[in-house]
Amino acid sequence: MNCAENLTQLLHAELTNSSTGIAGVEATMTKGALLIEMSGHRFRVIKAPSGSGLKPDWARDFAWTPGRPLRYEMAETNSHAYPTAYEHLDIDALLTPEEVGLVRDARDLHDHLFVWAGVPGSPPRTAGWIATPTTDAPTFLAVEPLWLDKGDDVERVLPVTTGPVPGAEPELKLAVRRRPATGSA
Amino acid sequence: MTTPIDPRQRARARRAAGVVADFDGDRLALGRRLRGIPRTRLAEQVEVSAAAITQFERGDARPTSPVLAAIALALQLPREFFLRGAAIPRIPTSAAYFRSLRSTSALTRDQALAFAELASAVVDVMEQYVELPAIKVPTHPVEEPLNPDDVAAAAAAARRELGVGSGPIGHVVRTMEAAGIVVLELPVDYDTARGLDAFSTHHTARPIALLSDNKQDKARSRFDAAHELGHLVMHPDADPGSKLMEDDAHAFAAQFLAPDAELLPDLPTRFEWGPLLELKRHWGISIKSISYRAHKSRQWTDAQYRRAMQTLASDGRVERGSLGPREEPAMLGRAAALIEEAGWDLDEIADSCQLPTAAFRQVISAGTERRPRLSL
Repeated sequence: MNCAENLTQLLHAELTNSSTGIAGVEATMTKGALLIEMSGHRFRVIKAPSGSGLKPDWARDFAWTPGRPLRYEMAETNSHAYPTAYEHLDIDALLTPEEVGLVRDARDLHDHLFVWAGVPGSPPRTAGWIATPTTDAPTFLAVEPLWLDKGDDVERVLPVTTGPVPGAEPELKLAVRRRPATGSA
Repeated sequence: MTTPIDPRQRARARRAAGVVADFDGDRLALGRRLRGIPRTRLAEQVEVSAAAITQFERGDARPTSPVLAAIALALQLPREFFLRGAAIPRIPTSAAYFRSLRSTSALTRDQALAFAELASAVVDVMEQYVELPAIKVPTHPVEEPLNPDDVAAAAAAARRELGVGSGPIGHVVRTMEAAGIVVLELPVDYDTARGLDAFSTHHTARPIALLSDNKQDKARSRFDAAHELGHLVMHPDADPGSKLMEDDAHAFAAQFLAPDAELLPDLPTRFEWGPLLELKRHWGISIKSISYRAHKSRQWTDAQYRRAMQTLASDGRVERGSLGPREEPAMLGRAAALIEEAGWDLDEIADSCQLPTAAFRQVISAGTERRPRLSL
């Protein structure tokens, strides 16, 4: 879909431009896919399936297959970092998952999807989510709404914060000399 | 079966081969210290007296070609390394702030110093090709060690002058590099140096901070880096070695990373995982360090602090709430990339200064970020 490609290109251009980029946020494009890295977290930007409008069915509209290697790799990495498929481990009521050390720290999850959706109309409306995929059922460990267009109004579910970005780095000012300075080399 | 050669005959043969005219004794000392080998052991390996090694290093005598070849073999450095080339500064032990002084041997410290000397020479050469960030290390000497107010004032001034502002510091190591400090991670193959936490020195053209990468913990790496910055800011002219100065640098690191005025109002009144994990994530400091501050500021009683330490100790060897991998330096890696992009060959640059290419690249690697990346 052209709109999704345009948005991806625009976002990449904004984030890699020295005047519009954000300190500590890196964006890379590979084969048309945009990956944003910040504070040790990776966000793959994807568009929700067109037919789902602004309310994707998180259990059915997405699937992780080796045919889409990055999404699959992210889901698999999360599944290893935070396994939820305890039922097959035959844990009875004597021991809780906490006691056998199966409950992990959710902060070990570093791979996420930035999902957005758009519907045409007047005005056109969009919505966005941060979702953490897993290869364990049911597809996502968590989905956090970011915003939802409601006609003239925009509902921001997560507050926009300002201040130092954890992981933000000051700029290292390096420049090549036109010709080597005099010295022993 | 071969007939053993008479040592006198061997010495005569060596003398006949002639001494090496442009031999540099300082470089022999550096190479030996880089390998962490005492003079006596090198002498045994090269089959000369320990006194001869001392004379070579002092410039009182020069080795013959066969002896130099044996030295090069024993130290696993090319013969050319020992010939006059780019000047390599000598950092006296008394000019470096070592942590863990009691737990590290003189040989270990000397080996780490030798790496810093080599690094200084490499940086000096690289600066002929690329402009590194201007040196803007704030200096706020603390006259009387362990005056908490002075240390807090120095940390606040350093934050201001380094442009940090209020709130958490995004990247401590990068903040130091942006101020012109060369930050390096001691290579892991420096086995004897594993007991070394970190050290820094003003003695080189650019201040150098060497961090050990044997603790893969971001909170710890940030504290270590801030500690070394503390020495560079507060002790520019003082003689290192005092435990009080190390305590000063610890206090500086704490205040630099999370100033009292901003941290203390948010401290929980007792040990609670939830709020402490939140503070750890926000400020990028360990729960152990936050607990210490709560006790030091008398917000927690002795008994509360003791229980907190017991809780942390019993929770596992690695503190919960990992912040991810340690902060890494990046300046030398980026500078090397710029040099190569401009069409210069790093190996040729190293050769032209009689610096071994492997050692040259090892220094660059010690100042290079190794970030994991996903690719499609």
